[in-house]
Amino acid sequence: MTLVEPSDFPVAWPSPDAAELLWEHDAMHNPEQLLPLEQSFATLSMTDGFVRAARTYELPIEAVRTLFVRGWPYQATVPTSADPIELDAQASRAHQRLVAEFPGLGVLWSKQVLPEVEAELAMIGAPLACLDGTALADRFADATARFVRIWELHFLVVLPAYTVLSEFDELYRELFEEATSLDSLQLLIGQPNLTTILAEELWALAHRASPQVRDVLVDRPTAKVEAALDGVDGAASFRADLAAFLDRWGERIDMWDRISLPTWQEAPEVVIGQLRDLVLTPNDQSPSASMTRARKIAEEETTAARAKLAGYPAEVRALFEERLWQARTATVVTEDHGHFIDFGTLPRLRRLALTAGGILARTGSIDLPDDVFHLDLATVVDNLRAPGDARVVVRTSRRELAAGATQVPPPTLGKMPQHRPAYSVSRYQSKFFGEAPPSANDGGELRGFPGSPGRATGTARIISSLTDADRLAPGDVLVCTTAAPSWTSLFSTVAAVVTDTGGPLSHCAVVARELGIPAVVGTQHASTSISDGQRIEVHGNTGVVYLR
Amino acid sequence: MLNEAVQWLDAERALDVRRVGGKAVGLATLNRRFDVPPGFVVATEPTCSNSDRVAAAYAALGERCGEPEPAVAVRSSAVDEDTGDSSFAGQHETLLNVRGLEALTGAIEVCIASASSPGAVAYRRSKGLGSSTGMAVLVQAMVIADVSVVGFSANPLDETRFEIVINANWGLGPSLVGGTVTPDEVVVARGPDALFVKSRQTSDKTRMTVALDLGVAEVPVPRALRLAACLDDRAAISTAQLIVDAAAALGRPVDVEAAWAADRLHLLQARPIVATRACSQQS
Repeated sequence: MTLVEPSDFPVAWPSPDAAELLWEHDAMHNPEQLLPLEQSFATLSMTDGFVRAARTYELPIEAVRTLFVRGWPYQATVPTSADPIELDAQASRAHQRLVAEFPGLGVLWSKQVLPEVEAELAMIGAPLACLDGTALADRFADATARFVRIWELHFLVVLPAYTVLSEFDELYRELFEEATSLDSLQLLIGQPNLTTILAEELWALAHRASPQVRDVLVDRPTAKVEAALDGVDGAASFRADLAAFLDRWGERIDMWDRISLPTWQEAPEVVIGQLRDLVLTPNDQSPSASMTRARKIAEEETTAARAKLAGYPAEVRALFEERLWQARTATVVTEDHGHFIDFGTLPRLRRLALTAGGILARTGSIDLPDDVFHLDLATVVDNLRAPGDARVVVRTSRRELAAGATQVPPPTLGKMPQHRPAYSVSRYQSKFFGEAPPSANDGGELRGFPGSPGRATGTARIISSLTDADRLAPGDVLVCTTAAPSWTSLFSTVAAVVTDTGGPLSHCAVVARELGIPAVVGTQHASTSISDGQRIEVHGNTGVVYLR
Repeated sequence: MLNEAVQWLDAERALDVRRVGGKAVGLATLNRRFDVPPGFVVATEPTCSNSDRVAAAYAALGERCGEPEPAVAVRSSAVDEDTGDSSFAGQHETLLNVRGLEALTGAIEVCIASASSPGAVAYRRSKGLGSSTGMAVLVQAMVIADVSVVGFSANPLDETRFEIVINANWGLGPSLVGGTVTPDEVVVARGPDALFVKSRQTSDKTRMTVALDLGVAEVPVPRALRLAACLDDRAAISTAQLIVDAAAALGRPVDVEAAWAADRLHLLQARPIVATRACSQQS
């Protein structure tokens, strides 16, 4: 069955068999177009990194392919077999392999994966001064190999981690037939992880500032804050505080795969913009106050679950406790890994890319250093070794991206397969990535999935980046395609969150639950159906957004 | 000792079957040698009110169990039940996980009334018995079973073979004896020195009975446990040994209901097998 190809979204298939695959656009991780160099690394993380981990767990995945249509990323999975029975059988075996990892997951992350990731990151991020084109080309080759290994490690730990969460949720709902996924996941909240710790540190940065500095943060537009601090009481210690914060947390880029975007260190206005709203938010909504409340909820729900299970067989109670403990470990792992892997690799690759851009601009291969992002990895490396003229390539890339910039990429392209295995990875994927919402959206309401319980009403702001988030005022409702982990601090100040993408296990839902704000995820259309400035009512428990 | 209207299973005097029914007498006999949940029988007494005696007995049971209002299992024990010719299996009432005197009193009334249920009346007629000669009610401390077992001291398909056939499921007895679930089956045979597991069949056990705050309910078995064997070899052999011993104590082939809780095996019921030809003991 061929999927509809919108007439304004032509696809140049790289080969005839490519058109036979199911290609999906992962708007949750890639809500925007990717530039060619970004495409190269995004591709490697999946075609090489992911596939190696998939093989380790014996998943029925032969290969992953990527396709970029005017910058819009698509991905297709090639299964190991065309036979549905064989696929399901292999998927079951893979499930057992993943379940076998559950008990040792915490150790796998902290003692095996994380140390190796940090070592690889250190090598990728080693100093780049005084390298000529050839030496830098060698560094790229080295960095690429390490990058692939880091992403293999990513999936080695993330695949079982998300499977644990999915299994716990399913066990809970088997045991308590009336329960929803929100109910089960409430037992897991309240554990500090790097996402919530980042939010707390940002909060602390805002609240440690002197009253005068805080006034500047609140009153001045973000771009004018730096200059306005001169001579203000407490400015020196605030600047020192900010510098220390950026030292610790500033090596980050705010969206997956986007090495062409500046880091927080390079563009601290992004941090300053978040501080304003934090200053205006009362203490009882601080991340640590929210986490304390979350911990209490988790304890109460756990006690209630244990009481209901008191008359159940010992084996059932033991299974519940085991999965609960494993799921709590997994929750921390699913948040922490991103800070090191998903986002830790990006600034280091960016530095490599900018250094290469400098060299290529000097040799005349490209006009400006920043043009380097418009070349794919092979072209960069080739031109470093043997300078050529890549300016046409840059111009073509810019043109393609401009053509794609006004388009809305269809969620899928190609052909729907006859059979998709119902195995655990795809079950957790649909909880993570979301599925089509339960029923069609109609005029007055928008349906998605429950992400975090509670109800709130507020003014909707359609936000596409942290810089854009400057427009948010405390009490607004954040509406976006996706919310990356670095957007966490916004969750302390908004009344609710609504997203296009994701399911109950997505980062947005997880963080919303930790910080105790209502969230509806996976609506598919919120960012285009809701108007900026519109009053909306968010019902987290039912997954419905009412539009006024 | 207590008034005859209420008789304890561990009373020193033998119980009067005309007052307490075959089930209770059987359990009292077994109680001397086996781990039978402690309890008492409310004897048939059509004219007197038993409520004070029941209240006192329930309080005494509470003291024995170490909690003031213990959870109990309330079961019928008809005077001519389980006498070897008629088992009345499935005809009379059983109420599980009853707690509190008021609930207990209500449960006893339900059990007594079950003697006149249409099914029970029809069963009597089919066996050539007269109308009910009385219904006693057994009240015993509730065993919250991790695994319930039923077993036969002889293979119902071929009694010449020395084999104990055990069926097991997670949780309490009803889902096992009710026939809604395909249980695990373990066949234990007698070897030259000891009992051994001859064969086992582990089934997909989809549902189990669990104790709620009050009462019981049938619920799904978590996927991860459906295909897990309820009884390991050690437990199967212990169960078989219990069955063999119960048959010896009663002097005839028996079908046994028992429950594993916290690694202890409790005997709940031991009935003489009514028909030794191939027929299901479960309704």
